[in-house]
Amino acid sequence: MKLTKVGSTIAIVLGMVVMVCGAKGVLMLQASEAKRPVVLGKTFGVVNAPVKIEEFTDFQCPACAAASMVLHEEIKKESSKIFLELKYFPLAMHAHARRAAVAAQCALAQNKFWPMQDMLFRTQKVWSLAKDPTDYFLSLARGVGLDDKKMMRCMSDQATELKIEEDVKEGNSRGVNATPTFFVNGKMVVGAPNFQAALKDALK
Amino acid sequence: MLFVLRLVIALIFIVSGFEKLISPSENFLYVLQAYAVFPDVLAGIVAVVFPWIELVIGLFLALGLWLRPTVLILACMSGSLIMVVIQAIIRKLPIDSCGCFGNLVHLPLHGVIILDVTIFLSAMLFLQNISAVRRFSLDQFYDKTSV
Repeated sequence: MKLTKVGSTIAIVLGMVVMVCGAKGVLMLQASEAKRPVVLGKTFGVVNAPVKIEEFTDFQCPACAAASMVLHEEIKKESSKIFLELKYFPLAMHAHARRAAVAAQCALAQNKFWPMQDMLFRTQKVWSLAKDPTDYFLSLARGVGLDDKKMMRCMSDQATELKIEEDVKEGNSRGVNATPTFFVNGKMVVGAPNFQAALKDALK
Repeated sequence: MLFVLRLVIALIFIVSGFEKLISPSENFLYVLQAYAVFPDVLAGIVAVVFPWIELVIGLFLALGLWLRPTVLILACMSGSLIMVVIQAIIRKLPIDSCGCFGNLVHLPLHGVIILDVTIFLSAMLFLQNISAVRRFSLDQFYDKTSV
């Protein structure tokens, strides 16, 4: 049987659609298996709240800092209806984002995650420009009342890095490639303006 | 030479389209919104349709199928992308990376302009030398068999 030009075109396009859908299907399956149990401490609100939000954030991303200031205030207003879980997603293009995530993770170990993440975002413009921001992070930690020695030990511990990597792996498997990315009741939303609209809908 | 250039551009479009298609469309929607050229509803449609067009163009270029219309679309597309990126630079929109290749490659806006201008000029070159571009193509194969 000889295939005409139009026939070949249709076959190629169909083959392409099947290949893309197949690849997407496999990735969606991986994404559904990638979600890990909630890590308390990086959370806000009550676990059984009707609106569940996961936020993948990068402490060196300006959009995340802007979103954090506004959105976390909004979330506090509706704290009975919302459960927020923050996850680290330091982007490769931000040199100090991973180190900042390590600092936040170490603050979590001393039950001061939220004050630390707040300080990291507020002072983002300062430490983003530093050659090595470690000392600056330690001074922020002191400012929020963290134990200096424990903080230093934790920040040089490989296990802390692994915790960050677990979040990054989860994000990658779930298709996250920009920050801030939110999952509102499982539905992916990228960027603060889209999140605000999705949150408004979810709270209706 | 033109055959190699055709394959290189095809590969860029295939990789770019495929990467966007297999990742959630919300990621590309966010990229589009950063350029602030489309209203929200239209951006949602473009975020879904554009990667398919990229992939089709890439495949057709690689296989040499419907080359003239494909190259015409390629020229229009790269021309439009140049405009979109230029307006983003003029308006000083806060865009770190073009978002053209998802998470694979991070190109700054000036780098994208160079890439898009190269593709646009290549498309023009293809149109002027369409018979040379049709070497090793399905178009050539079907033309021969239909004679």
